[in-house]
Amino acid sequence: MQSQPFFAIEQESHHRRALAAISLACLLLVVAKGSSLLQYWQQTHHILMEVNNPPKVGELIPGNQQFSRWLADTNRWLDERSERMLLAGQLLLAGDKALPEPEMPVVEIPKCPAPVAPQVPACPQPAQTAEPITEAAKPIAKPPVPVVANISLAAASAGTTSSSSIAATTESVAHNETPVLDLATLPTPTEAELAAASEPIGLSAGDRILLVGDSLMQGVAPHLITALKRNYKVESMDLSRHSTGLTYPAFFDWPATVKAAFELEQYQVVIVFLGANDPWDMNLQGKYVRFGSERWKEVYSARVQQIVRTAAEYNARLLWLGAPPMGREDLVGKEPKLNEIYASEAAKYPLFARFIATAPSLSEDGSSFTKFLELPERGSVMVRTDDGVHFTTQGQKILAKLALAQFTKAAQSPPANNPTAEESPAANQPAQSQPLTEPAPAESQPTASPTQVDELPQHPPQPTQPPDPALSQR
Amino acid sequence: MHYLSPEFGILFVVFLWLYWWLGSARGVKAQNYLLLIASYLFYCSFDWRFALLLVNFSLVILLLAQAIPAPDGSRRRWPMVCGVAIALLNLGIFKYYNFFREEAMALLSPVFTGASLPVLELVLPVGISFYTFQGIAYLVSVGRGEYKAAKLADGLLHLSFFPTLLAGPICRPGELLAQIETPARRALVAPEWAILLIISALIKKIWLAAWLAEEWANPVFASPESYHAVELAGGLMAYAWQLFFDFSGYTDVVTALALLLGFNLPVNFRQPYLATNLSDFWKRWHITLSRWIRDYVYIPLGGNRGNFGRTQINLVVAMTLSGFWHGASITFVVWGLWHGIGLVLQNIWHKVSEWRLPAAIGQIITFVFVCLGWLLFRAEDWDSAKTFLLGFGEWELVPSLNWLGLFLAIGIFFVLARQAENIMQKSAALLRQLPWWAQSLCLFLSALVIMGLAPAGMPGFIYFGF
Repeated sequence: MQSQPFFAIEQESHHRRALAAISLACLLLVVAKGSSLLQYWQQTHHILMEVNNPPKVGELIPGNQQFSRWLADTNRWLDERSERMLLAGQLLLAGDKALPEPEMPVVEIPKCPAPVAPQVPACPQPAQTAEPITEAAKPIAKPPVPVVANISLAAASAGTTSSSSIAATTESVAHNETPVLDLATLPTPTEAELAAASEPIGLSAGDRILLVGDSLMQGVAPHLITALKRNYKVESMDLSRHSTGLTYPAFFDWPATVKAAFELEQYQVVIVFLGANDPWDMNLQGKYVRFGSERWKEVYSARVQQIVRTAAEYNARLLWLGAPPMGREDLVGKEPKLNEIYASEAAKYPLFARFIATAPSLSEDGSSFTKFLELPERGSVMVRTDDGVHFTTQGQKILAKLALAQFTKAAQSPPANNPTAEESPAANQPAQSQPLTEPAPAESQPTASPTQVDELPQHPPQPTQPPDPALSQR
Repeated sequence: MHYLSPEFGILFVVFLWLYWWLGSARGVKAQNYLLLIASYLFYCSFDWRFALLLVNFSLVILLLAQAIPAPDGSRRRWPMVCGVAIALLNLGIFKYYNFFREEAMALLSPVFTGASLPVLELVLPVGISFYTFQGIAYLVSVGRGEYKAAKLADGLLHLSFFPTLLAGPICRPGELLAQIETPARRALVAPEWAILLIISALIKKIWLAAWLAEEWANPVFASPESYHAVELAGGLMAYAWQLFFDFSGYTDVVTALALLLGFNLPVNFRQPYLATNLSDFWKRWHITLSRWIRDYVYIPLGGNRGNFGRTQINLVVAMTLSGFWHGASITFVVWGLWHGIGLVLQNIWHKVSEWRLPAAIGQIITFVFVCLGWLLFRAEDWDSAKTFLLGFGEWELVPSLNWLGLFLAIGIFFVLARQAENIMQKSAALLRQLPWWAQSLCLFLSALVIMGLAPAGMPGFIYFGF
């Protein structure tokens, strides 16, 4: 390129050839990636299309299956190399400290038990030939929702019929041994229990926190992770992924992903922060469901509830951060509807879940979008980015503080000693933003979740595929 | 709508058919009108108000340029001065108002307590920094008599040509406007280069830049205190390469688009990390910006026509302004200053001593210097840059990222950079011999593999923000 070879002397135009070549390539790509394209468009432009049944033209191309398999194998091979190199790198820099401590479980499930000697024995090969064990247990009515924490995998496998590699690799994965609570048999909480549940959540060293959300959470998560680690010595698993939400489960299925995460490992706290991609119409079995309609609320609530329930079943506390006020034209004024749902679903499990409104900390009047905020210590600062959705670092820090104010050191330290509470402008938030913790009946079988348990996959899925950067331990 | 998004790809292919059909049926003029309409529609897809601003800006610049030639054959000076002032004011309001507002309030606060300038919630129109510079280059060229004032339609297209609209390359009138104005039939001379550049862009942007960002740059910069010093060094280098892949991949796709439309764009990158000293780096990195700064800031300031000291001051001023152009924040200014001071130190060395470093050592030092500069470039404020630097003292943590793999990858990048020119030439020659359908298959298969290997999601373009 240096000498710009395309400044050719000849002036004969090859545009027909070029056009033909480019058009054919484009056409082939559209055919091969048709279903991903449709999902992409639905996600980005909210064009309603029948994504439950995307055209499977791609599968008709000879070699397409082999190609995807080859690609998956390549990725897996790369990841195995990378795991080994990581270990080698750890041993080089940190020596013995790099070896896993026996009493502290490591967040990432290692594919093979970390070996002592640098001579790494081969990882147990995932049984690639094994038939998907879940074929028999598959719910008949619904196609299985592949549950993966990796969007690319989710998108890829949603379009294909076989998720065999996903199912197969899970066999070697450890399971969460914590007993699942039967929420139906829980007694109605007493006043004292409810009062205790509304106090700051106690964290002790070694606890584990699951972070769930979209690009909003992606911004806040790093601040949370660092502060939580520093203040409470807890480990966090950040699953947040941009462009995700609860409106398009075919694109990414949060209820199932959270469930999958719990099936693998126990978490004491879940923090959820999403909604920026959600205020859109849904497409349910080809039917158009308008945002904010009764049916929409019902379906959305059911999805929220699945997440809340999963946390409750595993006896984990859940913080649901409300969607912030939005400044983008097509999102303005939509988030209160989402927050209403989050709040009411959280209120159904007052012992486990709490809803935290973010609007009061993010705007001067407590509800409308503001780009600049007067902070007592720094004057006027920009808290939102130009897109009217995301946060600047300052904004992220405000939200992180808001979430941190919900925690305290477990046991001995009383809530008043909460280290983050004093400096936080949001320290007095919990009471104000939690009008919903009064004894709501702990309904065991909530009404609006017709599909909740059946829809979840029967097999422990696979959020710890090594390639997934979202799952790397912080 | 971004250049690597599926909707843009599909629309562009359809547009190409129309464009070349129009060329054979109606000639170049019709093609130019089509391009002008398409460019404005493209810009409207971001925000119609941006397009309104652009058309106003272009008309002012073009009309002033037309007012430059006086009837007696001389050239008037005032339209040029006015035009440059208006262009800078326009840029200043949209890009720098809030920066200066905060600074001004800090200055005023001891005198007038409670002084407050109004907050303007302005949205930065995408591409404004680039088309402002291109407009100034055009106006000054006309003012200096290097180029004739263009017709309105041609000038409008020159300032809105959609491949270069969002993030350059910043073209001189002799480069782009001349191609617009030429009455000769437009020709697509090297389709294999277009295909090759698209593949190169996909590799750089969708795969490598996204991978480096997700696995390295983002986590490391988000919480530098939780990483080992070696990981921080890796993260910083990864960010350096991410920036290069991001922007040069972007330039590749833009160059390919222009080629497919029958235009040649100036080169913007020549393997910058192979530079053996700092001035060499600036001849390889974002070349069209560097030469703009040279032509319209450094040389008007006096360039190297004064004494040695004066030249160095001009250099520092030019580099600092270049930094400020990148973003309305003090960290960008300091980033420019950092490079300015580096250049001055280099010049002093070259003046007092004949001795030069071996090329390999020079390359390493330059790369380290540039990487430290990128730290300022990325940092949102002083504190985060400081935290990152302090992190280099952290040697106790157990690393959690695959730093060996990263160092290996960066080694490969350096080796490939050395060979890139050669590889591109050979692949182009190879591709040229293939029939069109085989070229097509090459493009299709490369795209498929890259999408399979790349992290999911649509990557954003870092340089759109500037």
